Amino acid sequence: MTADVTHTPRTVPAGEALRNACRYEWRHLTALRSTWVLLSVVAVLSLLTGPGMLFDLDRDRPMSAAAMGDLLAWAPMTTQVPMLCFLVLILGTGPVSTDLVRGAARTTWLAVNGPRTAYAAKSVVGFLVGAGVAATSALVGGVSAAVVLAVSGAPQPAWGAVGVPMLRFVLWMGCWALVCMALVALMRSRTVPVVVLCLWPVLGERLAGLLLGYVPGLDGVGDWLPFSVGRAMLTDVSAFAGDERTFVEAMVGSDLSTPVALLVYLLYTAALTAAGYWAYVRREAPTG
Amino acid sequence: MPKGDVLAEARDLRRSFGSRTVLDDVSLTLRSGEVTGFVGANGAGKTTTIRLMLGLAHGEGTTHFLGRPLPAWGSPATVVGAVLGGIAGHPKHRVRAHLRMVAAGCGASDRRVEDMLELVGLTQAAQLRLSQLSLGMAQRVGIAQALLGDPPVLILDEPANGLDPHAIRWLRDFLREQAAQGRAVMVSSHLLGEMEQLADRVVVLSRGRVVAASPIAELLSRAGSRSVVTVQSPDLPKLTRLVEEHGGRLSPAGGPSAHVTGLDRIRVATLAADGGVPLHWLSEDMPSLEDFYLSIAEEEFRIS
Repeated sequence: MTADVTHTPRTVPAGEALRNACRYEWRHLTALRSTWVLLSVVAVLSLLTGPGMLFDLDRDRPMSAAAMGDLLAWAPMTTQVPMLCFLVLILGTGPVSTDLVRGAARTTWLAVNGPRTAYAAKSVVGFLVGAGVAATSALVGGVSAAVVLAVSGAPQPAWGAVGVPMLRFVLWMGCWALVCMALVALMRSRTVPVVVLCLWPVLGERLAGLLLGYVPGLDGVGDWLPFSVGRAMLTDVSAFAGDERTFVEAMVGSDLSTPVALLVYLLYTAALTAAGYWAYVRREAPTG
Repeated sequence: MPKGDVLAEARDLRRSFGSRTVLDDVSLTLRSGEVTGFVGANGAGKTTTIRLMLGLAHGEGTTHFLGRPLPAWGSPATVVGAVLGGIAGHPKHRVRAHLRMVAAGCGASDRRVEDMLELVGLTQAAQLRLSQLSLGMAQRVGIAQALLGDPPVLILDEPANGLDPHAIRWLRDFLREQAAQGRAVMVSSHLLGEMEQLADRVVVLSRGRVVAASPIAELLSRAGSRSVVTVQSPDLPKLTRLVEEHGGRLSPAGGPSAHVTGLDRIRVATLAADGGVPLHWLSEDMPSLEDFYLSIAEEEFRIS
């Protein structure tokens, strides 16, 4: 019997280990057909942003940059629905639930350098892919809108000013992926977080804000709930003209200024990510 | 790395659930060029030990791989390859994509994936989804995955479960070959008989404690000392006296037959000849390693 294969392994620095772990997570996502199906849906529906504008297009007045930013970020048909599906189902809940619910943690933790590196890589990849998809979607939607405006003879908005709201949108989507991931790690379930994440922004938080308003001393707390803050971060109410502002304020549902909302939303994301990291790291790899 | 070097060392592994201790100060070493059989009944704590060694479960004790804790290496898959009951991954992933994902995680190339698929004979099945794999195929994919990082240590938990005899033979030859190349191989099983043809050393676990740890040859020799000699003699009373005077024990088995324990057949034959006791039959049955292991486990059970 001869010893001719084994060698002392090389110690891999933490940075390289994280890079490898990110490549692992990237391949996890790209190897799933559902990733590409939903990305295609996002792309196709983003193209519909422009045609969707034709329903209430004002051919005489140029659209304000704030309104265009709002349109690109909030057009539910073209952006939000597919984007949220992508982020919640594929990017947000998939990587963690595959490990903790489907039992692949032992593969992940032994391939990359344990649960700490794994969660860090999931966060990095989740944030970057979420933000990247949002940026691409906004770009495609913007091009589509510009073409439709040009073809229909309507004036173009000040596109240069649309960049800042779009940056906030991209940041919001990146953070949203982190929030989804953290909830799966905390709840160790895929179904419950998906239901919570789909219903809470639409119903739960509005109701919670309403009910909190009846509690003495808690009036105004609704402004600080996560998605009220998120909406205030995305939509700069002060940029709208007087006649539009009342409607936009009602839709946003928070009196926080955009910079404050941005900061609070980042703090929410950081807190949830830290909690998700803690929950993921302290769990054992499921057996079976 | 010379044969016999300690590549992995677990010390005082312990795990409890409340007041119930499921693993009690388990220590073992894995050496280069050797296959270590890790044997115990179902529920003895083999899988828990392996999970603690790999950092997949929480507990007390330490495990060092090549002298350092696993996380200190920065890339576990390049230090230890583990096969823990087939393959764990996303059921919709295809075999090749799954292995490429793992390869990326441990810094291995895609070329290495193709080599490992070929090594385990699954190149043709690389397009299957993980959910489509049979148990035997999943075990092979698990082995390919374990070898992606070219680790010096291989740990396999019950790898023969669900395999047909042909696949078991392939696995045995494969693992012997890996050890021959200098790797330290650890194979857990609840069937000690499997280890007779595979392992160089055996660690026997019973109810969360190591009750025997020795080279397989030594274990076989100890098992041999528990052989049973069957005799037939017209003068069993005299033979009984002779056997007991020399530390053995004779139990009547009906008619002129009896079983002698504690002495081998040569000693029994010599005693009978010297004492003038005629023998009409003399044979010796060596217990299988399996029987020996069961007797150890039963002893341990009685003591505890």
